Amino acid sequence: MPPEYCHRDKNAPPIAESAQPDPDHALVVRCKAGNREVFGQLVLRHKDRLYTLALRFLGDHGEAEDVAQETFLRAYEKLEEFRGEAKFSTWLYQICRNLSLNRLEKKKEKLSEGFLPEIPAAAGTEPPVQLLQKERHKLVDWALAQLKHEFREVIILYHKEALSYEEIADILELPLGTIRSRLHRGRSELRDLLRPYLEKIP
Amino acid sequence: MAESRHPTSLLSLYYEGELPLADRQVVTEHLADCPLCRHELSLLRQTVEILDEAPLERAPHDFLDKFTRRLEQDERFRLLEAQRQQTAKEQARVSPDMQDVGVPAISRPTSPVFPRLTQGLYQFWQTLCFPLRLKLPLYTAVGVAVVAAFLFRSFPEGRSANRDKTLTKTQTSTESPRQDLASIDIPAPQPPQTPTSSAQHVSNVPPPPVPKPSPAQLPGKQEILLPSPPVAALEGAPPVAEPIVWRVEGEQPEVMQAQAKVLAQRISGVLIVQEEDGLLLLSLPTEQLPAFGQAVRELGQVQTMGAETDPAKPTTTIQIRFLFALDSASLSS
Repeated sequence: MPPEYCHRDKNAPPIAESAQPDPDHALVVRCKAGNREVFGQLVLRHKDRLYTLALRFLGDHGEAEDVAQETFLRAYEKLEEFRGEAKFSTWLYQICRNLSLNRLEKKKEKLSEGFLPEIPAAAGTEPPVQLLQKERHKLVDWALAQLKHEFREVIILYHKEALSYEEIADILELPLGTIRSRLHRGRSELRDLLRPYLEKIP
Repeated sequence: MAESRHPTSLLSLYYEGELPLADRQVVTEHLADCPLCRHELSLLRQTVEILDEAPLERAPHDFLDKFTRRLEQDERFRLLEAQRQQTAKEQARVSPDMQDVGVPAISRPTSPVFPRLTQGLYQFWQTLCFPLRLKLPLYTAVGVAVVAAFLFRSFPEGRSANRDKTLTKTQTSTESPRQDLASIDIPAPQPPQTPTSSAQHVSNVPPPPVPKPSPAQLPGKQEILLPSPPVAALEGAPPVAEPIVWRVEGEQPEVMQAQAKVLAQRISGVLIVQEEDGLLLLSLPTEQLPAFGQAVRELGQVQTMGAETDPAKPTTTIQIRFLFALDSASLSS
């Protein structure tokens, strides 16, 4: 079997990332000393990733921005609770994920038929290769929204945020094996959801 | 079983390269013979590619501005910031080494006009007052010392104040020269001593304060007003022996005083108790008094005042005043 089948062989796994020192550590320490301006640097560093994560969870730009803002405010307020045992970014992801799930639950209570986005109009009619990139992204978002949230969040953190297993395990506070299992099961389910479009690819 | 024949559940792990070597070899062999599983693996690869294709979303460009505004508008966060600064200051005091491990410089009060001055004052304040575990006992000790010094100083001041008060009272109450003379602290009669030891003793006696006479009080002759004794001494204490006073008048009082001093020093057993300008206080053996009086009379015109000579006493105290005589011509004639 040719080696090109192995995804991780081609793209270096970020498994060893958590062993590296946290690049945010010095800034966090200065923030704890009351330097509010330094926290702005942390916001600039992580705002896009948190915004993306919230957007993958919620599917709405306005809500994603709200959640990302709230994440930073919570982090600033609870900074003393961050002990530096995990990366600061991991801690931020944890807050963002919890806030997103809370908001998701509220949305589910409000909408009887669910908040999930509709299937893109192009789906099922044209092969994905002919879809515009923007539409493909919509398709992936739709497929992600169909997954159970325990699979979805692992896939989002792994693929969208490019986090390592260890970082995801820290964020979700789950064993590494559970993370790996959920990732592969979620990925298989995602493949089944996208099968009608993927099989159109010549 | 189809599942056992088609390891679809392992394809994701296989794709990630996370299968153990034995399983990996089994799946690899199966993929070589199974187009269905190869198709499944291809779909999985496309799925991952699409997942990874989605770029990182960009937060709105004013995201940081909004966040900063929310921080500034909320009083809760301002208090939190101030509290953190205070905590950091306290930690820096407790462990100054924190500066070396990446703790930032504590926010210090700065002035836009005199930042260096403010910085210097701040450092001085910190040096002066911290750490408290050292400064507190030190300042307590200093405070106790200051109080003790104040109390110690207050006693001599009180005594000197009493003495000044007595002096003022004496000056205002003196009417007759007899009362003035009674205030002189005359030593008790002493046995004859050698001149050297006498001079030494005299030098140790502090002269009493003698106010200078005003010109209005002395139209023709110089008057020396001596302080009267304290009231308690006049009323309750046993009476002090009054000295015999000789008023010696002549053209040159200074010369007369110097000559009288020389004459006195020739007498054995003489003690010069006090010597001032125009005043000589002597203590000499009583038997030598007539001879000394005769010698002094040769210097100028002498008037005897004060107490009488008591032959029973071994020594007699004589106060000699040397005054300038205006009518020297008549005196000489």
